[in-house]
Amino acid sequence: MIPQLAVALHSHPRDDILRIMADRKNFSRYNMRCGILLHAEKGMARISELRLPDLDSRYLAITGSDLPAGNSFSFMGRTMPIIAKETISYPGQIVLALFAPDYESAELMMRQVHLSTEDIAQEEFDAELPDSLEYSWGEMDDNSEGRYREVSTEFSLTRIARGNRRLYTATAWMEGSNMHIEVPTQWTELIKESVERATGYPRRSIIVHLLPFTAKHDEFLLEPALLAAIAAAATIRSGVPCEIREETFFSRPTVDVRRKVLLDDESKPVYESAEMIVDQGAYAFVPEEYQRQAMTGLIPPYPLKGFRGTVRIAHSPSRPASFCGSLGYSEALASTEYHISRLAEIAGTTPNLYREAVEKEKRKFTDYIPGFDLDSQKECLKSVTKAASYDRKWSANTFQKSEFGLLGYLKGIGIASGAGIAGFSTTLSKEAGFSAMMTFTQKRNVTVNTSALSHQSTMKIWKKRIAERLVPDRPEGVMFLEPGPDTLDTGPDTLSRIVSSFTLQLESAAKKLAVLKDTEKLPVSLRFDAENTYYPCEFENSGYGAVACEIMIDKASMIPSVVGVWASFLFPSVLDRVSLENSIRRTIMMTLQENGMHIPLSFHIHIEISEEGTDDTISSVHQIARGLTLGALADALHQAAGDKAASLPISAEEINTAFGEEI
Amino acid sequence: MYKGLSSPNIHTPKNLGEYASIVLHYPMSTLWGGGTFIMTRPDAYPSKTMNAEIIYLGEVEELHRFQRNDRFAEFGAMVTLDEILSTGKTVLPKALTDNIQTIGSRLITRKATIGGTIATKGFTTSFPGTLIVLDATAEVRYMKKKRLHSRWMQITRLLDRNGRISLPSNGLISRVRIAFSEKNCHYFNEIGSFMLDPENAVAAAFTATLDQDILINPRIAFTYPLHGVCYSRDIDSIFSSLRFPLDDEEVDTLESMIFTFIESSFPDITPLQRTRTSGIMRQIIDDLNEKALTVPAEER
Amino acid sequence: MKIDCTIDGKTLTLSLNSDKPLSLILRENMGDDGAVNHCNGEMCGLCTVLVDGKAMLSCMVPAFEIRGKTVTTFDSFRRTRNMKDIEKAYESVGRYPCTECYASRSLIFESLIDEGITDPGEILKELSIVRCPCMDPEDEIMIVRRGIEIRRKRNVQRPQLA
Repeated sequence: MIPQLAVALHSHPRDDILRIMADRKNFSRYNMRCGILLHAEKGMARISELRLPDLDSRYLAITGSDLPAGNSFSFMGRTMPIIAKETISYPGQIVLALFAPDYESAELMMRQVHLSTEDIAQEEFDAELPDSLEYSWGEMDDNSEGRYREVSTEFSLTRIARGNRRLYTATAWMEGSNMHIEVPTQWTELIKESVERATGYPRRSIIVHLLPFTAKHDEFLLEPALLAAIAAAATIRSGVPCEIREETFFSRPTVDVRRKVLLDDESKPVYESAEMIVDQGAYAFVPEEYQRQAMTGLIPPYPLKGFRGTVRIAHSPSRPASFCGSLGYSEALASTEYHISRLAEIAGTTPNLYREAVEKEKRKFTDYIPGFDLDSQKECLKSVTKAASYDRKWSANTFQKSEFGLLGYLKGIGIASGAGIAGFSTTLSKEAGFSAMMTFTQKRNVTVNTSALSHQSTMKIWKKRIAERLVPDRPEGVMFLEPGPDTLDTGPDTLSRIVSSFTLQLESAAKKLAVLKDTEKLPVSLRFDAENTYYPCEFENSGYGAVACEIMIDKASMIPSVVGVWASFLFPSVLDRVSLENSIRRTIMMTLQENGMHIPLSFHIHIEISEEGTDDTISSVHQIARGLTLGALADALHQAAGDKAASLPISAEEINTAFGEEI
Repeated sequence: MYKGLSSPNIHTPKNLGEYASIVLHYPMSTLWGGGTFIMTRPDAYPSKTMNAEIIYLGEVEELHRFQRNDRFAEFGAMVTLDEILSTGKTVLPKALTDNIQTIGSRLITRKATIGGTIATKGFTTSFPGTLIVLDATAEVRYMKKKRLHSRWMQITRLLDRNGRISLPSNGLISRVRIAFSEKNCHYFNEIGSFMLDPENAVAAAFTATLDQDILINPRIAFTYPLHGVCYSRDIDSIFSSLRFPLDDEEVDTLESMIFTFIESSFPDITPLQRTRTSGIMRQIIDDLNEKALTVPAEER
Repeated sequence: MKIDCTIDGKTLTLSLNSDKPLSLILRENMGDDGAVNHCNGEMCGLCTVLVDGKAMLSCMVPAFEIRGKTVTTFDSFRRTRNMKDIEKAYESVGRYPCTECYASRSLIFESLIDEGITDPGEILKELSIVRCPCMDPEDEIMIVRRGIEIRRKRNVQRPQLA
């Protein structure tokens, strides 16, 4: 349908900037408290002492015991403490919030706070984890007769956990009986729920004011809710508005994928087992959905007589890695694509030709992804290999691969192709029950009741699309209701997946309402939910793509740089090519940079976008662009550095260590 | 406001005479040039340790002067790197202009001053090394018997035994003089960011005159931001004794000799800094080999 | 310390700590916490403002250095004709920065367009301070060059109209 509507999340930033300027709180800073947080330095520890300096009445310290209704944060059924109380689960966990009349005082006073901890045993550190998710078909051959060639491959992503250097604020203030919260968030209802759980303040009296943001991943999903809860508790205790300033943070889980394949005489895979272990950190959030998304990416596109996939969630004393923008599909897709390239290497052919040889015209139908035609995907691959001169470069690099030779650098080129998926899985959609309501009023206006109001630019496009169907002459007749106590929970807009699905639902509701408005008595309302997106599989495929990525490791600096990226995508329809291309470019650049790649001044991205001209399904652009870039990058790194550099992200230091002995 | 925090007093002398009288009254004051280093420290603000008296040098007229003749260019310490580049790009030695250009954005070079790049406390920028190989001299002003004295010194002489720039207490670099070089080999390279990744960054500056196959008056300095400048006349002498082009064996021997010296001065450099130092050194040798094998234009 | 300065066209006398970074002054005292970041010396490049017309990192400018100076933040710059030129350049090239770095990048683009810098190396060096990975180098060069063309055209047209 409208893939690029999802993209609009990151497009037209001018509108968001204007909104930042407009939404100012109307209370004086002289009558408020400014808060900063104390974070734990190490995880899996017990707080042995938390010593505070003498604080006069202008200061306020909030610890785990000071939250009026409870020190608990819950996200889709899983909980964790808002502030570490006795034990610290992960480095970076909030231990204390200190409020002062100004930030200078808060910072200086915080430097006098003394926190000492002692390590705790592994047994005391436990988390509630789901069982492994398994999916299989066919009987696996034990290869006892040695009929097949057995091959193993490994793909690994190391945890990324770092601040984004960007400050944001969460402010709480009271006005009459209402508690106002101003915060950037990817899920307003989570803010309300968290504040209610922590303070006991009734949800109906909590009003959330959205601050615009650019969420590169899901950094505005969990943490703003924690901050909002703390700020609200401080406001209740101090009686004045309270603000917390914090740096945005994101954390990608550690991912390890091990595969075992039995290849026939022609080096084609016959049986395969894949095991993905995902370390989500100290607390796992929506791990079951993560498993479903990951399994979808784990299933290879080529035919197999037998397949067994396992996705296991592990935990460690590290920062909870939520989804990092993909809920595992991108990472699993990257691992599959990387794996195909390794099989090609074993078969002694280029990964491009190998894909052509092993992938049939159609994918196998599974419980996770339908059996779609692979033609479009192959077209993208063809286009990319041609644009990137892939085969020539691949061969040249393979010859040059005798470590750092005379050239003083090593090059590698990688490739990946695949399909996009969108939205939450069918199972989660059924469980969660997120919804929205569209009403055609007596004054012949259209109102939409939804909590998904994060992005002005996206809403603008939604309004336009709804108006086209219901009030063609009056686009101003479509209104999104201001957030209030009766706002319906439309779910988190993380990954823009819900926006993608939501767009589809809005379109469908507008179509139905166009009929009802002429047949029913006004006002007429239509409440819609994820029912529209129930498919026979957990996910619906849409949008295809291929990415080639060329990298270079410089011998003098050991810095891995990206020479260029070539990408080709095919979407059902393209409404706003500029927004779509901008979004894809950003996702590619971001993926490269967060995986340790240096972007030189000569770097270029070549993107080709085509459309099928159909009007059906939608796709999450970010997931596919991210997964394919990651897969192509891992492949390129493998060609450049071999097994020495087996994990992403990679740094110059790691490359230096890997090649240290030879230089 | 937090009781231990007070707004520092800012003194803005208009000339060096005023500066001297302020230093006399407030000997423990902090000198503030462009502020690029001070302002980028993680706990720069709010800071209880920030001295209550700051002497801001931005309005001292003498420190903004720039003059040149046919032998040298002379810059006041508060001349910014951007001003140096825009006024002397065509006449200044290439090693210096390359060094300024590696800083990157003019958002930084417009603030950073030549004096500040030399006299940053507890941190070594890539500039002292470059100025050493360029035989630059600096005018050091210092207080003695309540009077401001002045002395021109070679930058090399300002290095202490640890490879760091060391000035007399209350000392101030007021001018830097850079001779126009007649050397035909100028090289500067910086790998890694001195500000963002000081553990792994390294810079090297090299100047010499290549006459047929030998180097006349070669000078080479390696800089490690958290350690200091590694400069030795012994290494210069080794380079003087070489005949170019060098073969692989000679390069290996040279490299091991250089590393013996570097590691004796800075035993704690990281493995990546070691690799990068080796990489830069080999780039210099490759460059010299190439030059030695190329027929000069005037002889073609 | 009392500081007299002009911020976004308003002549102000601010009572501040003399070494407070301008980025924090803008965030805390002027309420501009959306477009101006403060990264504690990490050099994120997201705190760019114009000081006397030149792009500067506001986290590197202490309060005492803005005495008597004119500070222009994106808040007021976005309403100017010059910003319209930059928006036209974005539109014409088909690329624009993300929300996070929109303000900073636009101000640096302005600085480059104002000085008429077309050399790719200089453009990229100037913009390298913004470490947000939302734009690739080719696009940045194109935007500056297009911006200069648009600005020149406007400057030529204006006297004719007068």
